[in-house]
Amino acid sequence: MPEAMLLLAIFAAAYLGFAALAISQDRHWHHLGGGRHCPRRACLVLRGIGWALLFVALALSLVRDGASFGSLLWATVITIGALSVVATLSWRVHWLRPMARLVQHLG
Amino acid sequence: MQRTLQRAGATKAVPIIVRLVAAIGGGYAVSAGLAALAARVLPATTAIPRSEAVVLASMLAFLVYLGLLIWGFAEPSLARLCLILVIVGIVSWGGAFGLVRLASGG
Amino acid sequence: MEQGFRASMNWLHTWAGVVLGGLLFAIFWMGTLSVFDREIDRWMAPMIRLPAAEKTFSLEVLRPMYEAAAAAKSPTFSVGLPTERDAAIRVLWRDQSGPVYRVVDPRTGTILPDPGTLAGTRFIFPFHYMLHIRFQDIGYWLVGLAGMAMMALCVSGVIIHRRIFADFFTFRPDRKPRRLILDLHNVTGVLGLPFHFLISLSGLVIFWATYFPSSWQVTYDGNRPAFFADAYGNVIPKRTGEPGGLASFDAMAAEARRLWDGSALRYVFVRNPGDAKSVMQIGRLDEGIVSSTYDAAYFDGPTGALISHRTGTPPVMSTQRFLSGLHFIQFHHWSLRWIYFGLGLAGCVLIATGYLFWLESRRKKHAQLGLKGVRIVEGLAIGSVTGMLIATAAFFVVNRLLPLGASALGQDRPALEVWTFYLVWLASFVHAWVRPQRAWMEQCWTLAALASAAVLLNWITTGDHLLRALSHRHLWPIAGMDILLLTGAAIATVAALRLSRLSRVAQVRHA
Repeated sequence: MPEAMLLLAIFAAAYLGFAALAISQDRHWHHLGGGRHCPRRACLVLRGIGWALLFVALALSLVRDGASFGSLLWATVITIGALSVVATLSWRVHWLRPMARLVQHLG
Repeated sequence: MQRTLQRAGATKAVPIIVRLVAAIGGGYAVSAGLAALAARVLPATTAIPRSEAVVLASMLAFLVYLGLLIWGFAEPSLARLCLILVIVGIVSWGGAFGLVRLASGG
Repeated sequence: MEQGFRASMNWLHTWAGVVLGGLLFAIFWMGTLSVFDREIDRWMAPMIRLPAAEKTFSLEVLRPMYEAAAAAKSPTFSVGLPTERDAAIRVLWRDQSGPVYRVVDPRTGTILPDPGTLAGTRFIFPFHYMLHIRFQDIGYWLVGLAGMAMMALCVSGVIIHRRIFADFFTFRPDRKPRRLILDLHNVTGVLGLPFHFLISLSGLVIFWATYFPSSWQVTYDGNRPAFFADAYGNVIPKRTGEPGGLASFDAMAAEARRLWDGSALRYVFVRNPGDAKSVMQIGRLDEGIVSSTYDAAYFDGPTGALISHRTGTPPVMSTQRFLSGLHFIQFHHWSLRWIYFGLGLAGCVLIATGYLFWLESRRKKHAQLGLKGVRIVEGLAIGSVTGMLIATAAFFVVNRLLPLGASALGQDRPALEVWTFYLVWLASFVHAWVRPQRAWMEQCWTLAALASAAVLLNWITTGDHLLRALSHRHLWPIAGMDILLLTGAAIATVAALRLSRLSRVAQVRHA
């Protein structure tokens, strides 16, 4: 069971990480109810969170499966995570609204 | 380029065919030659064992070939492309077979 | 040639894609299916839907088959041992009439009825790497060319992509077809790039000795066995012609296990069965690492004495084994297996959308200029994409329809299945060229019908319907296969409905 939980956590970190990176882009920022351009500070915060989460996904993968399986798992799961973000942005964009709002408030 | 192909007169088709042969065939011949040369040279000059050098040379050859394919289609001058491929081909294959001759004492 | 680096890469990407797209799709599709080749075997050959062997079994059950191989003077006798994904023992040797293939139940030692199918491991998987074209190894070279082309397409695709980071997550399903298709092509291409590049490179690296033989030819005087003896420690005995026995299978297997600290065994392979100089090679099964191990122990056949064994690999060979292993996925990791399957499908989408984009961006212009290019490529695309899927589904359907031992026109059952595959595939091209307007939609309907029929026929002929398959652990592969077939049928139905709505809208506009 902890194996499955970890896998889910890896996917979640990859998904949220790419979601943060996507929101920091002007097109998606605007689409999610922000202004035309993502403010510099919010953008930096989002990118920082995004990369950190991808790094967390890597760390969790290595913990779960060791160096060789772990790196392979990370490299493939983040692709699935990114594709899922693309699907969310296309069909269920409101799922990402809370995340965008949170950053707007913080910014 | 599409237009060129669609109106493919014989004069326009020739450079394309030459380039295809040079990039795909010539690129392969050159990467295989470099692999042969590396497989001969590496064990003689470094501590890499012979069987390891063979595998290393062949594996790197895929990346060399990929580079040559990209360059083969990007190089504006067809003449320069052919010339360089021919020179490197002769040097690599000549070097590899020269070393084989040398080793067998012929 | 147009001026500029980007323009030349655009030319390369376009034409390599159009010319080799069909081949690439076939290889990617078959590779994606090969991820589950053993599971497909179980679905297509009900006699091997066995529960896993509980305890270790005696390899002496192989003795009668070994004696038959020895009597037939077969050059080799090879045995694939059970794994988690495959409960049966698979035995292969040659007699006067050709290869002899047997499947054995390890729990009882009985030989199971002839499966009468090449199924996943002997049709779909070899198709993936050699297209079943044995003549002069042309199949291998075509796949190699496609692999190189895939890497060149990856590189040139990145170069011609104008806004790779700005469009990183961009897919706009509400846009016009042409834009939507390009978005989908870009997204699957860019996000899947690491996987697609690595899977192509590792696939090529598996066959390095075939694709770049020059390295071993100049260092080992063109003597391939000499190289393999040096690099892999292969022991290859010369046949003497004198008869000789074979020591205990189990004793040699136990010795091999002891050498590898109790590790399981992958295969048993005898050279020169029945000869005084026979050698038995036993391979190690290590499902706990990515690398595809080639640890093996060699025994003198008649005496059973250990000749040599190898463990561990030098660095370059380890890299080669790692790349091979990450391509072969013979390791135990179900999450990665499913992820590979998903990313393989993403590769299929990438190739198919590449074709569609080419067609959509030229359709109008070609119609105005009266060019035939679009029509030809569209037929090629339909046959390569939906045609390939239909042929696969037909392969499954005919497998459930033909009775065991069936033969027709001098072809045995496995050959009839393969003929069905190729003829259906060919028919899909003909259909696409004859009815270009409606071919996509009609082929989607055909696919949906065939995939559903396959599930239904599996139920009728074996009794293993989905609920039953789900409730027995050893039938999960059957359940997985049925679920994927039904999912495929559902997607094909949705696609067909959308296409028919689009064509109706187009008709209204024309009227």
